[in-house]
Amino acid sequence: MNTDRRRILGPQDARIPDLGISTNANNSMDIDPAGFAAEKRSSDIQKMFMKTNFISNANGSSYIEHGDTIVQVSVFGPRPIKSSFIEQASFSVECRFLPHLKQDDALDIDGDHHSNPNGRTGLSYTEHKISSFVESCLVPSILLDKYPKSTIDLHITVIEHNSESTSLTNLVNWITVASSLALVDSGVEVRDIVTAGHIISDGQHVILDPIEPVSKRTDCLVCFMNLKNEIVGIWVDGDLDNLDTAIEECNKMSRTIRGNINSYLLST
Amino acid sequence: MLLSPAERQYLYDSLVQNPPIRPDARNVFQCRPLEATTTFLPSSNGSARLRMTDGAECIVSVKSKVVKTADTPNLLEVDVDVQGYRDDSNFVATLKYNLSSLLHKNFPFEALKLTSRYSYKLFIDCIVMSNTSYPLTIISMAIYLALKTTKLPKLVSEVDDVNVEEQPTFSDDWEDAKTLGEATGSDFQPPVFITLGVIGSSLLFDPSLEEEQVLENGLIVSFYDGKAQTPLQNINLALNSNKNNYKGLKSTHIVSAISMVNKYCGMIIHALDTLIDQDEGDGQVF
Repeated sequence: MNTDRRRILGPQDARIPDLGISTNANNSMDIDPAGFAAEKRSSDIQKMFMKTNFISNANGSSYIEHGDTIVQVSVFGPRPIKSSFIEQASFSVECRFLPHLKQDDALDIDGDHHSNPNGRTGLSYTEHKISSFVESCLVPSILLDKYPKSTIDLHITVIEHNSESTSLTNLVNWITVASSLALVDSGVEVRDIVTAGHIISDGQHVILDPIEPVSKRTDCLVCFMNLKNEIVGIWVDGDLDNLDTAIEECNKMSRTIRGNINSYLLST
Repeated sequence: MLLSPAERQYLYDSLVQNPPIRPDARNVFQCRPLEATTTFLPSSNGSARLRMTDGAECIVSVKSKVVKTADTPNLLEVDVDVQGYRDDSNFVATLKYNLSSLLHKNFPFEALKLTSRYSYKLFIDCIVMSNTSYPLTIISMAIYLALKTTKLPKLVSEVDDVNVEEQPTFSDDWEDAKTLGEATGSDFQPPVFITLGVIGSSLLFDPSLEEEQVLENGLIVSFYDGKAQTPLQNINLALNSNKNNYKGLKSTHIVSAISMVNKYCGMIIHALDTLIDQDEGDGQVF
């Protein structure tokens, strides 16, 4: 939505230069269709589909499909608040799984494996964890002090997630990408677009964007602001050996995704 | 206490020095002084109360139950209750998630096995009576103390019950009860979380409330089995400050966090062990 939020907008008839648009900008990753699942090479990132600006009453929205994962994010804000003055915007994230999805977590302690069974309105522990992780990833990128007296709310809906095949960290990887895409779409001013990389490694071999359960030693999700190579989010499970390499590989993956987001945004 | 912009700037400037100058003159790898009592809840298998100089206080109780292993997906259940926060708030839920994942990933579950059919299930209940800074470290240290002093009754019935179904029976004498360390036959040291604040190029162990308000980022690193472990995550430690300073990390921060944890956490664990030795469970809290 292109409403003015106290900023200098470009001219109405501005034209975007046709730079950096890859030939298959919409269907981003450069892998043949057969390159799914079993034939996926370890250095590949699986194909993804993204779309923005399709929810009319949200300020920004994004939709990402990636393998079995479908995530939709909408941004509401900056919205004015009624209570006392705050000097910069407050930013909040809420992540929800659709009720039919099984949340993979052994840690969902109450034996409660559905995100929203009848009668329960709160978030599950997994949903809370994802919300606070995504929030801490995105906060450094948003210019919150540009928006005093306002709130920015981000609503994440996990529409599809196969907990048998895809790890939670891989899901969070795409949630983070979708969230920053939605933020860009909303026109909230950001320092940089946050993108993420997820790898697993067994000590010697590194697999980018793993889509099948593989016996793993290290599972590493790192979110970056690529402009200055800042790490805004890190989530490591398993062994801590060779963490350097793991971070490096995540960085590569996040750069690839960033490249695709750039060309997508330029072409829309 | 929220700092004014001038105070924040002063504190920030002193913390980005190399080495940082902390308001309470601590070294970067020092935790705040703490006081603890263990084994004071008569109806729990293990308990600990931990207090910090800033008034933070946490009580942990460990209780056990005999369950059928096949019917129970989790042999450990952690519950966290923080005064002043709703149980379904993001703050409490994230604490609980982090502590559960720490314990699930780093725990000798074989110590809980009773027979081929039955196991102990541990319920770890944490109450944070008051806190100023992010309470993860204090809860996790209290869990350490409670688990370390947890005693489970001695099994007197047959261990092998594959063919003959038999209810486990236990020794009546509490003197026979074994700690988890004795059950595993090794020196059992439960995992702990260390909170590190990131500011400039420095990392600060166990940041206080004032420090949290000027930190650029936060890291939580687990320590188990003598070395840094996962989960390793970054986290926004400041609860109610406006996140003015919040920034990204460099990968050198993460590497040096791990090496600092490897280097200094052994001492923290040693200090906690000494504390247990000195505190000869007379059951007195005050």
